[in-house]
Amino acid sequence: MNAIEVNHMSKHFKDFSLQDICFSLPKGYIMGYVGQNGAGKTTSINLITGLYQLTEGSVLVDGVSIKEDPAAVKESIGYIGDESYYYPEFRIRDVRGIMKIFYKDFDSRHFDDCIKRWKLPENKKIGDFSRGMKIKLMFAGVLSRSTKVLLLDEATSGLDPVTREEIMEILQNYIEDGEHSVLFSTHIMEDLEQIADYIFYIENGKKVFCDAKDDLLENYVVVKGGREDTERVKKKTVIGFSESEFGFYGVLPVDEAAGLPKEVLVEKATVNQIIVAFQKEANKRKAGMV
Amino acid sequence: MNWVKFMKTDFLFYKYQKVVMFAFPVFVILMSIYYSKDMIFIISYLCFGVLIVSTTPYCLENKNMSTFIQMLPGSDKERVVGRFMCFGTMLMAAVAYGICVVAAASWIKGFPVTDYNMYFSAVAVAMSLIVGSVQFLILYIAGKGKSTQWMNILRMIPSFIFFFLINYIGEKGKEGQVESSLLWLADFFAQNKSICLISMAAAALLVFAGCIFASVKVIQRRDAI
Repeated sequence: MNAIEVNHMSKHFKDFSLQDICFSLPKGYIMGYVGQNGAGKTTSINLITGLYQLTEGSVLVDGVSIKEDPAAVKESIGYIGDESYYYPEFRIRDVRGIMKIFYKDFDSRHFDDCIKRWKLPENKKIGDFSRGMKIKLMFAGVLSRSTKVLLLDEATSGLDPVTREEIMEILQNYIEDGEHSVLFSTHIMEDLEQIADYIFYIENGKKVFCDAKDDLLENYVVVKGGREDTERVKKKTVIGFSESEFGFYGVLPVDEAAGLPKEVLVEKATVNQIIVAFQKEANKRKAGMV
Repeated sequence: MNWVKFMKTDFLFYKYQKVVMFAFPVFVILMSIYYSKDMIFIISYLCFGVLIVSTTPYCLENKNMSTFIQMLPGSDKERVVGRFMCFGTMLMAAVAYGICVVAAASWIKGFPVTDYNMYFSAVAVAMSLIVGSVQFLILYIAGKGKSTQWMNILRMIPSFIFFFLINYIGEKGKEGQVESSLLWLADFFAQNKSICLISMAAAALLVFAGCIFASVKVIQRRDAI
């Protein structure tokens, strides 16, 4: 059974539409959900969590539809947003209290361990916490109960590198047993390189691709060269093609790299290079340049 | 029984108004002594306080906080019932407190408690349950993301209208200054107190339940945040 199954998920707003999104995330894996600002990442996550209502399609979390059993789905989801969702006047004891009320399986010892480990101040108002502390508190909350899926909406943005590193470690430990999964949206490609197994790329509310990271890295290469080779390379499907006075740069599907002149440098692409190339391409389309 | 959990969670929001919640009843007693007010004033003032304070969660909830409440395991119905029951519980606690104060004052200082006082205080409680329920429904319809000023207007106006209207009618009735065209109604109430009280309580509970039902329908039709 997949941890998340999304079929033809659509949502229409006045000024934006998320259209026909389909993907599945197997148990024990991490999927990075990427796209530019306003591409539909948060909308997608809000639809999976049930915070938004689907216009069309269906979402199953651990085999259960949120329409049929919202309480069960919400129990199995651990959601962390880009901002703290706790009332700023709350203190840690209030969070602990609410968790105890709602979750039978809430492990207050584990919660307290997290609080101690991350040195979160018990008696300070959450509103006075730093961003890193707020994120850690949200993690303490979701990791202290038996969730099946973690949904992270740009939770790592704006965090210092050490905290981010810690969070990446938490996520890797979380999926270790093969029963838990993570779907996280981010702009930080380093995080994707580090822990994502799958990458879903969304643009203007539409899916562009959803691939295993390793396949993606095998399927694309970076091409660089001098001005003299520009025209020959342009004939290929170069993604995110850019020219300068010194030459050109772009990302190319690996099967199109054959037959390029020897002078053109072909290198393995990184996730960052591939995603940025797709984003550049999308921006060119928006600007009517393609 | 998830609604009980949501009710408990809503009570946490009032924790930060504990100064107001403890000071207000004392203030009501002091006011009543100073201005030689009666039971109607005490009960209606306490109900007025509950009407204002009970809407706190609506004003505190921003989009992020709303996410937290929405992500707690439970259905829309349970969330709404929890919030309404929180209001109902506060109202009953305030009324119980008011009755204790009046009983103690009557026992210690011979504070006058007439039939009319008791009867009209009961009307005030039923009215506040109706006003509060409709106010909650309006706040659900208004939704989140409204400005603080707008929310405060929605919170305050029904409560103030309730308080001044109840006290105005109560005083008029006490002084026998009922409009001649309404005398028959006053007579009818005076002669059928029990039936009127039971009908009033039933009507209030019906409105309370109706507003819960309507609020659930309202929130089910739109996105949670």
